[in-house]
Amino acid sequence: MSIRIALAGNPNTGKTTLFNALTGSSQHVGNWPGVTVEKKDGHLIGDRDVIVEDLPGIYSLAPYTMEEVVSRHYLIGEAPDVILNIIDATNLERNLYLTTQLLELGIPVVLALNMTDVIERSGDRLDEAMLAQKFGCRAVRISALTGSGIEEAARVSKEAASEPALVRAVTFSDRVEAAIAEIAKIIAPHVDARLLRWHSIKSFERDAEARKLIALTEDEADRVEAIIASCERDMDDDAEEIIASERYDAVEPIARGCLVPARAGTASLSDKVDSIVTHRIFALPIFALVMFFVYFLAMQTIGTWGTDWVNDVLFGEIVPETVGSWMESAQVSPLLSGLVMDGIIAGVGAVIGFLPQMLVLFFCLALLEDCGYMARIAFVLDRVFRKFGLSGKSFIPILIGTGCGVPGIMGSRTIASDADRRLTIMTTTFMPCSAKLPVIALIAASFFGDHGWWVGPSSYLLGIASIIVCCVMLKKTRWFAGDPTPFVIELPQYHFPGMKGVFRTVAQQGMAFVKKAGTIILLASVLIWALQGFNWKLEEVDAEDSMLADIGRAVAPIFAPLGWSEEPDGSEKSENGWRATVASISGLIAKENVVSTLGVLYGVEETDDEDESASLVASAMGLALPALAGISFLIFNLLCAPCFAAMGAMRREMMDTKLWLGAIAFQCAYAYVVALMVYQFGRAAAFGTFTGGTIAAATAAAAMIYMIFIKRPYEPDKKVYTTAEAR
Amino acid sequence: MMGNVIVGAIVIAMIAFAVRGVIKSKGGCSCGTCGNRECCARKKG
Repeated sequence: MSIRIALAGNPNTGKTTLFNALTGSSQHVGNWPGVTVEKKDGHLIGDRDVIVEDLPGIYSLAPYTMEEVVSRHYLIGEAPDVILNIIDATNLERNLYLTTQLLELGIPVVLALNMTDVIERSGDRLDEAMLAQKFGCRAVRISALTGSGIEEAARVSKEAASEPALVRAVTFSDRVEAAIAEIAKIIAPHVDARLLRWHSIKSFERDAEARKLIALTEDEADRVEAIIASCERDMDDDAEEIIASERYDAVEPIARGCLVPARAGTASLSDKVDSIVTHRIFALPIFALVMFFVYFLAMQTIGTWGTDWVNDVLFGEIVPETVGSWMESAQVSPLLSGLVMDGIIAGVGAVIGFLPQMLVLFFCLALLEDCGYMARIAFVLDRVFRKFGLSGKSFIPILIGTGCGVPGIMGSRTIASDADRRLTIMTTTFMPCSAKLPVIALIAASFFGDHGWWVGPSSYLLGIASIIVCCVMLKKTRWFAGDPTPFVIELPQYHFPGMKGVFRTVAQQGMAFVKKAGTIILLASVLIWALQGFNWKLEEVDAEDSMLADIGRAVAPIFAPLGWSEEPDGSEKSENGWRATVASISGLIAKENVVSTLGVLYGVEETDDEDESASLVASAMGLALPALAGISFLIFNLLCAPCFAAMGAMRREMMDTKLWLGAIAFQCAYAYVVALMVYQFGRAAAFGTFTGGTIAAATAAAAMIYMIFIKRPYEPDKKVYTTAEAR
Repeated sequence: MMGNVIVGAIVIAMIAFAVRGVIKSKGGCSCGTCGNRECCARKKG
């Protein structure tokens, strides 16, 4: 018979790290709250009969956000055999608040005291035996990061699954206990005996979602309400407050007795570092410096050395020469040879070339995340975001979105306010995801060569600025009106990054990138090659006369005001614009396709058979467009609608098709307007050129300024998600 | 002739593999970072 172990605990206590260690899985781990927004399961290593469930982190069993609903719904409705309660031992009191509620579910609970390595290093004394005795359950010391104690935790959990559960963790004051006992008598016929105490307490707290699970008659509901009202009068407080405060009163002496700090009252190293990196004035400049250094490593030095080798040597010489000469000697037909050289190698090679830069970037970001620095940035940016109507809670999805927009969009589930959640979903993809990095690197190399170090950081600044500008504007519409939700984040202790986890993250992201190059990008490259090699009668023709050129030319006039149809000297040449247009459209399938498409189009056109490489694509593109048009091309592709996968995630999370379509249209329109303004104003400033496009850009700028400075016309939306809606 | 057959077979195999990968992803992102069932095509643990 199988045993189900549920991992439950506060956010960012190491549940997913423990889950990975117990099951051998490789779920993403982040050193901030809210990484896990869905339940995940896996089999225990060495015992396939044991299923381990990783639940999103919760602070209590009174859910406010959608991922908290997932955890409570599972614990109440599906009743696992045992709950392994992961507790951050460095913050005992707050973690034990949840423990008192888990113990009331009528399910055996095992306490896994995590981060004991930090406790030991700091010299604090943790008495797990006393904790176990106080709560009447077993307690195990573990360190999910180092792996110590996890086998013991699994063994104890399996044993506890067959033991009876405790149902009274906290004994409230006599008055409250009397009220709970009276309520229990009324609701007893309607609930499972296992959950009678839990339901009685929840009824006392007036938990609307818990009450929906009990079919009380009107008379019974009135009697319950009378009992609560009477108790509230006697105690002069709100019922929910009474329970919360008595729980903390019960937990506080236990926590104080079980964890004795070695140096009470002295600031820890984390506190000292925080006094600098979260400083009111220095925090943001430090963050900017850190990010510039990361991009200097990835885009200018270490990453670039690797990328240059892959582009110039691997896909510039070794692969084309080896494959080309072999096909020549094997007398392969020119058509097939063209497909391999100009389609597959040129397209896929152009994207793979950026892999070294991306690996360095992934590595640096993983280090910053794992050591605890990124959680501080969410806290620091809360101050900035709040001024513009968005809470720091939105920064976590945005940060996740720098890896991939899809989990970033899903990470917005941690935001309770409906308006803020939808706003975050809409703006998360403004931050460059990893798929957009090759586009950034290509534009930097195409137009600025060795001086393009500023393009990468500027793209991220553009993303943050766009999020802020759009939030300011959209908060003034009736769909997104409302004050930002309160943001409370627990800053984890700094620790040395777990290199195993960091390398696993980098390897996973790198492999996913390579896999994508071998699937969707390869298919798109073949399709682009075919479309640019044949006309509508399927006759082999030059690219200028191909189907793709016809399609591109039909759409290109839309993008002409962005400068995509211009020669580097500023003269209009409509034949040129279709390549950039087609590349942008192909980016909707996957953003890497922008580069692979340009690889096929410019690689074929500007170079001869055996020299297709991303660096040559870059120089070909630099010769074909003016730098200002290159920047407008980059801006449009960074800010426009994301790839299909991210659009699908937006639709699922927004739960409103009209709003979703509106969001996609808004993103495209915003991208177009920003690219238009940059190009037209840049051209006017540099060459003194004023056209109809300049007037359109000025009008759009005036409209944006109006939206930014107009007073808020709508009342705040106070809606908060409930369990029923989330289901 | 033989060269055409070999290269043609390799290209068809690559395209078939790519199509299979796209179908398996079921519209997910395959980013490899999250493992969420809804969002990522990676197999759950």
